Amino acid sequence: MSHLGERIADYVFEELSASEIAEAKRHLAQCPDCCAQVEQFQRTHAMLNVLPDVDPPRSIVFEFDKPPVSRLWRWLVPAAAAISLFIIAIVLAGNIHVQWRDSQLTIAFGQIITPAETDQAPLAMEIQRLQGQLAYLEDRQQKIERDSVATASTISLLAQSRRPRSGD
Amino acid sequence: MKLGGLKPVDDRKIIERVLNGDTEAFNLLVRHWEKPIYNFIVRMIRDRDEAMDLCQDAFMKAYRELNTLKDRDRFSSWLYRIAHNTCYSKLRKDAGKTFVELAPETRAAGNPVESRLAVEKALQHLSDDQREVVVLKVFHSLKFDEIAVIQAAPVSTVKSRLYMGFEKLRSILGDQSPR
Repeated sequence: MSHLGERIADYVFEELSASEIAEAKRHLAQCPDCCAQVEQFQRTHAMLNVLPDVDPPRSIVFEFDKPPVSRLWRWLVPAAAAISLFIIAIVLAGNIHVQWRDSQLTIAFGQIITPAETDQAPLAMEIQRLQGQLAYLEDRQQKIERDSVATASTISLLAQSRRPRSGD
Repeated sequence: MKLGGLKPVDDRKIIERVLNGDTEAFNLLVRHWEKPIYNFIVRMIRDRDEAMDLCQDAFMKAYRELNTLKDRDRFSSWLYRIAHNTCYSKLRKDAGKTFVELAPETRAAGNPVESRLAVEKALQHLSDDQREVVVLKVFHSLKFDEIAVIQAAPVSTVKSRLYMGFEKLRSILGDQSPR
């Protein structure tokens, strides 16, 4: 076997295969130069081994944020609620009316009620009531008229039935 | 020799948990690898406080880029590669600075504490690449092909750096070995 050369490091650090180690040992037994180099290498290696590992001055610990899904969930719920309210507001937007009058805030849903209409509400109700009453009276009058006609007809028939006959 | 961390199969399982959403599991990887990565960085830049910051930076980057890890069985090499990049960014920044030796004596002494100090100082006399190969090979037991990936260099270049590094350390420390 040729001299170890660069394989000295492989031999000292045990990176040779079993067969290569056996071959190297056979060569070292016969080659004082290679043997001296290997021993020198091993001494230097041993000198360095006086340096122990040291503990780090502090431990490294990572703190991780909560998984993105839950953060998204916490954002989604209020966002969905806000969007829903907005949609509802849009749907009703055409029929929502806000009014501030006489220190009163009025929010009206549906048809706009004007102040004039608001003031005349009792009068309108009275008119409606009277109209209803008039309709009732008209209906009664018509009934009375029908009854009068019927009564007149009956009287006429009775009168005809009592008239003496001309041959008696 | 001084290999920290979990077995590759354990790393792989934890990585899969992290990528499946169990982000807290990443702290398991950190807990097992922070000591070897910290020691690697300390031996590279020799500033313990700075090494702690760089160690944290390395793990933050590892977490952010975990989904880019192609071979989950080689997490350690990949993590060392990130630590290597972090160190070299720092070393490039400090390239113009001069560090004053307060105690120039670097010969290995009989006192264990002095020996450790001598070795630490001697390592700083190596080039960054040589020092990295020596540290990863001697203290972290990485294989030559793993170091070659970390340094983005051929295996032959890595071995050459190791030989040159060892030769320089022998000349600095003297050819002494612990008895």
